Amino acid sequence: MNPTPLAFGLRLLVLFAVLAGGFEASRGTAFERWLVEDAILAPTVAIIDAVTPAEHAVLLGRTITAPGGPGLHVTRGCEGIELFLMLAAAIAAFPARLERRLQGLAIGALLAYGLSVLRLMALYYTLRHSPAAWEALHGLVLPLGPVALMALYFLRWSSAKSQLQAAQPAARAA
Amino acid sequence: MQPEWRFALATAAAVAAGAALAQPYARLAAPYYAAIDRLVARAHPWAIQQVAVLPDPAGRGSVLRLVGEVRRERSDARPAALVITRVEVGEAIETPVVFWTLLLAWPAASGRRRLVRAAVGAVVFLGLEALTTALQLLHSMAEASALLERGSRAARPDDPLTLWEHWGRFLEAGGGLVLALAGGLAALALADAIGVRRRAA
Repeated sequence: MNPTPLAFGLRLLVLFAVLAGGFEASRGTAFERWLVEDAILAPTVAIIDAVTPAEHAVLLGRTITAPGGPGLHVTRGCEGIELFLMLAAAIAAFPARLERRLQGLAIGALLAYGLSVLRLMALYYTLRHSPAAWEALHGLVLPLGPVALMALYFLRWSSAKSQLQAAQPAARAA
Repeated sequence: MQPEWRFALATAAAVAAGAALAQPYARLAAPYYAAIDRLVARAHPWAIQQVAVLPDPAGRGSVLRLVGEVRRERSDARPAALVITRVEVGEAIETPVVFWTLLLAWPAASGRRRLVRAAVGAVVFLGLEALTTALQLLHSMAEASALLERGSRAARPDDPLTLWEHWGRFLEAGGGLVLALAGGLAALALADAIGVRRRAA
């Protein structure tokens, strides 16, 4: 049975707070440095240089920088970890079988990763080449766009799960 | 239309409207943020001088700027620190965009039901704005107080920095969005419960 909107919202909030708190506790550890710097930022810089070799972008700590312009300093909430944590909290808050949850998380993690890299690339190019658009893109469009796409993915996952549940009793009755 | 498509279209429209209206919205909301911040400041040795929308010093659009004074003790005649906090106007409009999109795009049986939702939503929304942007603006004042206190005696485990810092980090790390979503769902549930009770009466 699907949860009520209120029950789902409260579960989502509590689970996200637990996951975000857990990740916050890992700040400064080797795991967190590997995840943010090696797994997210380094590939982002590599893609920027592959797509636009003239940029000569390099990663200095958590700043994506290049000659002749400002660098993008990636702070908390910009690395894209929260996309995955939101999805994990939403999937955990919605009733489903373990294998279905794991499948949803695995595909969702890939989607969150891709969207995070694309968001960082978009922020970098905006800062370097179109700073006038920074206000709208950094503050609103680029944080909300990926979250909206993740929400669409979650809606697909949860509605497919509901259809599956509805189909099972019918199949058993037949 | 499938719910997913309705959601996608509503979100795209809301984000576009939010991007265009971020600055006017921040100007409209600034007096409310100032009122909440002054209310919170009463319990601390803080004084809010101004909350206003100004051009970003880095030349990237506009920011919501809080200017405040922090004293060591409330009775001190002169402030020990002047604090300036900035929040991008695009960040300030995130909560309204998420909250109202969810509330207004959610399927409703009638226009009357939507009106009840909007009325209940307005109350919940004021609380959300206080918890998110208004408190985010006060973050640096708490930090200044903690630094001043640390200068006079050793930091205690219940240092105010810890609580404010944790909340600020939670909001920055996506907590603001999740809070807006949960607030929207709570407002929907509350409005629908009121509707059911009125029908039963």
